[in-house]
Amino acid sequence: MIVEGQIHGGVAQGVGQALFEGAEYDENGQLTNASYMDYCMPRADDFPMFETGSQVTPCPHNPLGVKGAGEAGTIGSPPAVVNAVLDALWSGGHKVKDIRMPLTSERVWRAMQ
Amino acid sequence: MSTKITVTVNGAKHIDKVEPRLLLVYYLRDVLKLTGTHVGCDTSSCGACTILVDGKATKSCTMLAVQADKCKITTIEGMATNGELHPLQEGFNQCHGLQCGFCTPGMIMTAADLLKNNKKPSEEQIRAALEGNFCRCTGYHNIVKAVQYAADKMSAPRARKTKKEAAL
Ligand code: FES
Ligand code: FES
Repeated sequence: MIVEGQIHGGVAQGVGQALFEGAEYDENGQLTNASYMDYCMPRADDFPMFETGSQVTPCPHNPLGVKGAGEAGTIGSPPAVVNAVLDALWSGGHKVKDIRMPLTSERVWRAMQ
Repeated sequence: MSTKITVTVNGAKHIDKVEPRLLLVYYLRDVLKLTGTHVGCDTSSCGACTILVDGKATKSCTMLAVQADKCKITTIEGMATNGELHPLQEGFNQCHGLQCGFCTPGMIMTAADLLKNNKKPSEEQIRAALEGNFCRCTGYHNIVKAVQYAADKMSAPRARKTKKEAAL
């Protein structure tokens, strides 16, 4: 249950990174989204329920075979979301090969021009 | 110059003199020492400071203590009765609805307002209701489940036992 919870959180953080979150600096090096007023974090209504699965392989480097699991969700979700957006763009006839996170609507729109 | 206010917090009446600029959340935390209500942002964005003011979920960093004069307030400390957890608290416990726990008091108070007005909310309605509350840890999945657990339990009070109760 704890591992699943950590994976849910990790997936959500990765999706947040892919779609909304980014530290934006202006030309003077001033961080322009330093508070929640300007920084977009994903909310409950941005997600569906998750289904998790696991493949258990004991770690060979310590006697208990244990390893960290919390980050795992964060690693998979950004490429999954970005690839899904690229795939959608290609199926819509926009031959976009590369697009930078976060995939805000403005960035996606610019990539389509 | 301070102003006299009379507020009922979790059933207890308090009369205090407060600065007119004191935010309600700091009155609760610093004057009444009810530190279960958290401050995440101070700018009405995160929902960690949510409490019930006359039964309505309110971000207490967005309200002055003087505005709460003559109001009835419920904080997370007032949710359990006689040592027995509120179904929402039990739901968060049973469904692993929290990790660091910082968002939890606010989530529970917002959900309490939702369940008062909607006994059987759908998943979408729960997500929409919690939209003003940030959680960095859980991805919201188990929070939604905890609210569903509480909704089920509250609509069938005796039919369902917690895993702990069933094991006894
Ligand atoms: S502290 Fe009140 S909304 Fe964040
Ligand atoms: S449990 Fe950590 S912010 Fe929600």
